[in-house]
Amino acid sequence: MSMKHLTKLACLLPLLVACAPEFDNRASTVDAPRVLGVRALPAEAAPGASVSYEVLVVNNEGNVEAPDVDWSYCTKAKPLNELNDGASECFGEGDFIEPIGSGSDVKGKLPKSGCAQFGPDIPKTAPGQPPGRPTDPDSSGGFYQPVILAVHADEVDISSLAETRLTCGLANGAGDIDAYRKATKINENPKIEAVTAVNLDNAILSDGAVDGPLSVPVGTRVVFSTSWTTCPTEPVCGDGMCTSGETSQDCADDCGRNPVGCTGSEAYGYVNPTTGELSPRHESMRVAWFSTTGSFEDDHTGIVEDDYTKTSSENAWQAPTTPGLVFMWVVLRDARGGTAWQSFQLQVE
Amino acid sequence: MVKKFLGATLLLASLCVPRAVFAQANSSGETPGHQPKLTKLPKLVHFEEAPYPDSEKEAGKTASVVLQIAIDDKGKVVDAVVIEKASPAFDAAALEAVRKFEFDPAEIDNKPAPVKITYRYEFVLKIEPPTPVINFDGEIKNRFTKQMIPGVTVAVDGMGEVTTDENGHFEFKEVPLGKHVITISGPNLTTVTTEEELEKGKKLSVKYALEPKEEVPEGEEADLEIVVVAPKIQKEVVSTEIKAEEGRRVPGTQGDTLKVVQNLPGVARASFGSGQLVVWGAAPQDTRVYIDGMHVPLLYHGGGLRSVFSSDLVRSINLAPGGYGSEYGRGLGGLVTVDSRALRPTGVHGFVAADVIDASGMIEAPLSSSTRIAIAGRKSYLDRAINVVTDRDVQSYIPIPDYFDAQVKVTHDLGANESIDVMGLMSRDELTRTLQNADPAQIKKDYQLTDFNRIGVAYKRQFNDGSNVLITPWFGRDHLTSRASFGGSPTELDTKNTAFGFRAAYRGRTSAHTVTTVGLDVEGNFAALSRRGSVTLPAREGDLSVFGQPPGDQVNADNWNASNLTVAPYVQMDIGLLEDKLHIVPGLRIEPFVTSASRQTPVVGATPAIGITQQSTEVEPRLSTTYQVIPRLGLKAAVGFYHQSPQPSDLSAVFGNPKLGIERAFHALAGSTFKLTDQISFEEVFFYSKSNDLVTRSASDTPALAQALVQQGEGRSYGVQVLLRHELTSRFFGWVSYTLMRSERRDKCATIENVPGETAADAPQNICHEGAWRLFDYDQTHVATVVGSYDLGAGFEVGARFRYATGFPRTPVVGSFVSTRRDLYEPLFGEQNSIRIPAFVQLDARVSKRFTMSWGKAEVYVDVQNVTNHSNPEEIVYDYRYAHKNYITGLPILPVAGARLEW
Repeated sequence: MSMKHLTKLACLLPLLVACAPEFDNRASTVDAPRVLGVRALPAEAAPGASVSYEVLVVNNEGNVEAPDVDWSYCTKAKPLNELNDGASECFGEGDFIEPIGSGSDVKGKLPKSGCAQFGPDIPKTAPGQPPGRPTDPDSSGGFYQPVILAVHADEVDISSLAETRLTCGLANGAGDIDAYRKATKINENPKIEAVTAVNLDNAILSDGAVDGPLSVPVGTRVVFSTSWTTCPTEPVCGDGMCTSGETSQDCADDCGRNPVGCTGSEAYGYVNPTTGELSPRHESMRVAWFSTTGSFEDDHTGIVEDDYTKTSSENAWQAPTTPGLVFMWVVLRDARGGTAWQSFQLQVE
Repeated sequence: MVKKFLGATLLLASLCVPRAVFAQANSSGETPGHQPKLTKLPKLVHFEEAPYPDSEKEAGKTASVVLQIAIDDKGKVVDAVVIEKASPAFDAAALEAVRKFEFDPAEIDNKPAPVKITYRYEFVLKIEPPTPVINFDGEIKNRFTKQMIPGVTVAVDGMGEVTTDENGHFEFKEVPLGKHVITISGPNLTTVTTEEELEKGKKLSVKYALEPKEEVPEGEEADLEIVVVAPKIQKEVVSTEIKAEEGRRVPGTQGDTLKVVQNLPGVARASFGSGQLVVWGAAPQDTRVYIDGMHVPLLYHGGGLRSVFSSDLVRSINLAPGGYGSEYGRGLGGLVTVDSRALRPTGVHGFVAADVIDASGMIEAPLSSSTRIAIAGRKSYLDRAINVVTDRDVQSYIPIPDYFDAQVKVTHDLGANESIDVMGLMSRDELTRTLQNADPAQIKKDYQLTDFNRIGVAYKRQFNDGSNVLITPWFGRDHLTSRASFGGSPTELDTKNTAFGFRAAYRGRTSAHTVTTVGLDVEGNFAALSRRGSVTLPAREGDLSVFGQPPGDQVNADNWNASNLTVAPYVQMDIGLLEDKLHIVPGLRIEPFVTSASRQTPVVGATPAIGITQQSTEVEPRLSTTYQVIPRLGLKAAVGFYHQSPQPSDLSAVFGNPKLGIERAFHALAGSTFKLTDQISFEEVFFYSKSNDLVTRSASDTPALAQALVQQGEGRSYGVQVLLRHELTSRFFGWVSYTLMRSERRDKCATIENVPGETAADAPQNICHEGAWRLFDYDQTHVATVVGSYDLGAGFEVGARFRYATGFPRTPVVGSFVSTRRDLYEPLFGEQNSIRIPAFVQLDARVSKRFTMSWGKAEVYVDVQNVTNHSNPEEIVYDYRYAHKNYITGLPILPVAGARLEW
């Protein structure tokens, strides 16, 4: 039963629910300048390390080339009475804003105080003052440095918050740090292997630069599938990937200098912040779908962590009834802040 | 009670014979020329009374119908016609009656003969004097020997006196309703006086056990006869009491008496589906609810759908929104007390009822001459009914409540004025829901369990001097579980609490003008808690958020124990002055709070936990006064100090603050009550309350360890409430209530400025800046309720309820930003609580029909909420990027049909 159907049915049972209104606009429709994603390279780093950033800015005519973007780190922690991911003050001005640079891609150095301000370390306080409250980790056990983007495109200002995963200690100091480090490798950005049109002979979508855009008949329902790398369920030394369970001591080939992780649903260790117990987990994967016209059945699809052996996610798209060029994007995110995207073109005829 | 009924009397009009007689005589073949002579008139031997036409009786009409009646020689009526009409109804009734008349036939020339007569049938309204009904009786016996005492004089004010018969029995007829002073005296007896109250439709039967005076030698009798007057029961200065019979008939309550609390003055309209009680601007958790002296965690199932206690066991509900006396404490807000009724001494009684949502029932019976029991319960079944008509998808999406409650009450009479009640109650609410979604971040799982039980004993004894003792120990367990996940972010809170209490009070007349109550109020709670999830979920009052905003994904976990114990002695004196017109009631309550938490700081590695125990003794003076200016006009005022210990769920070192202390409030109110008639009264109350040291979320971006919550909140509420009320009479009851109110909060440390030291060596300073007063999240400027119920007669009753309430304040969204890690937009807020949801307006109606059988009664009803199908906004919602705003609307028109059978 679809969500819309359920919503209408709920209104017929007024004893139990109120009726929520529907809005005409959807997150998967790009009809104005939008920021669809920010990618950090590496996807995770320790405070003080260098990180490169790139942003995907789009509009209803495709990718915005060379968008006007100002990047900065925000060193102001979020008060507990704000429910957002970042402090609202980060979108203002103050000493806590550290500029990184401008442009569609920049390189910056993570503030050294990251693990104290946004991580499990006890924040510095004035002498005589009680110790500070560390930041709580996310559900993957991670901590993040806020990155503020001020984007100006098509005379529209867009405020964005990106978060870079920090390599810090354990929340509450609970658990065995060595066991944790062996089980948990720094995050690797995912990689989109391909996006195919399943019911169009599995045609592979492209940005149209080489063979032109994929042709789709008007009004057609197309099922797209986004696939990503299959990660090993057990560590294999020599496969070129430093994965959960491997260390530089027992597999220097994979985990020695500049180790590379798996670009799919990575395994990692999660430490219960209360008991310190370490348990193996896998990243959930989430796919965001966007198009300039037509409509997707779901704005987001993906897999939960228990389904980690599945390496693709599908979504249906209804082509518009008028011919034209359609721009489409897929943004793939893992549960630990890693991001990847691809842009496509379709010719509706 | 005088009864009226309508009857008919009739008069026999003149006999009109001659023409007809002559006609009859000629046809019979009499000798021409002979003039027949009427020798005997027809005599009516059977009169048939015509039923008084209902329409004419209702209109109060009388009439005369003149008919011509043809009578045969046998005396039978063979024809009748109306010759002087009154009305169709009267005419028809008269015709039908006279056709059944029987006569001794007339005689002409000494022989039976047919005749025609003119007859006038009169319809006259007559008021018959009522048959006196005994509505107050009793028996008097020797307290020690248990023997009945004849010859005792029992006097009722305004009704004279009677003497007990040989069986010690006395009775009075037609005692007016209301309170009466009863004086009992007799030879060798101490004269005692007490108060009884006669209620509509109920016969009051009492048993008095008297203690004979000691034999005094002749000549040494006391010069004075001392009359001891039993003290009246002291009510709170500002309180609204609703009788169970009224509460069940208020539209929109579906027969649930306790839901009427939501319509009382001073109570804000609860958020949709919350069932919370917000009284005079106090947070819901600040208002305490007691059932027969036992504190209970909640009053309603499933977000306000049904109450947790059977309406048929309720005698009255009392809401004191503030300024209550020293008998109660531990709450900054109002006080709701539910009193169960006395069990009937004879017969087996009960009821069963059902509607769309649930079924309920009760059975009540005497176990012996001195012991009575009642068992009641309710169970919902809508979740199972839905299964039959829909697929499981619906249940996953729509939160369908599943609840159950049960009560047992046993009363045992230990003596004439001594009894012991045992009350047990239990309640359970369970809700499970999973909302699947292709988006793993949108998969929602929800499990809620609210389960509590209580058992209490109430020992009551009334002494001959009118004083009384009430001792109520009670014990209970609560289990509250909330488990949810939003995508991969869990939210769990599990609380297992053991609660106990002990109340003991003595109330007696300590001087001619003073009634004193001394008591002890003990309560303890021992909770084991476990919580996992975001520190910001659930949101607290004062958090900046919008409805439906996905929770933050920062999570933590904690397990802790928390306990609180208070042992509060109290005293209250009711001093009557100026011939009892002025009552000054000073009270003092001393409440030592002992609060403990199992851990002062969060778990850090293997560091052992160090707990904390705090003790604070609070002195709570309270004063109230009432002055009866004239019999119909009374003035009242009250002031008092109130304190509340922190919630156990706030004492977590991770999510709260184990060192939270006591919250404080001051209440002041003044008003008047004017009785326009014996049934109609008008009351207005001006109120003000100020609270301090309220627990709030830390506003600092660098909160201290174990201080996610701090005590820097202040609150104030002020306003006026008015109530125009018509008490329950034979046909009608209703009220109009209106509250004009403002509730505000302020954070003493709303922003913290981090000021670096003047030099690198100097430590930075945190400077606290006080916030401005802002509207309380539950503020409602106007709350108006109009309720009325009218008995149409013939078992039909109609009622209506109109409500208007200002919408809750909300914080506007003035912008948004994209959070790219979680791919969602998040709101940027304007001034806190600077906009409002539009006002709530709703009309509900109820129609019921009662059937009375020899063995019981039945009732069917239809309760229609939102008769006009008005679309009421309940919450503000936004599109995915907070660019467009709309409203979630509440219930459309909703008829709920139900039936009830009782015996």
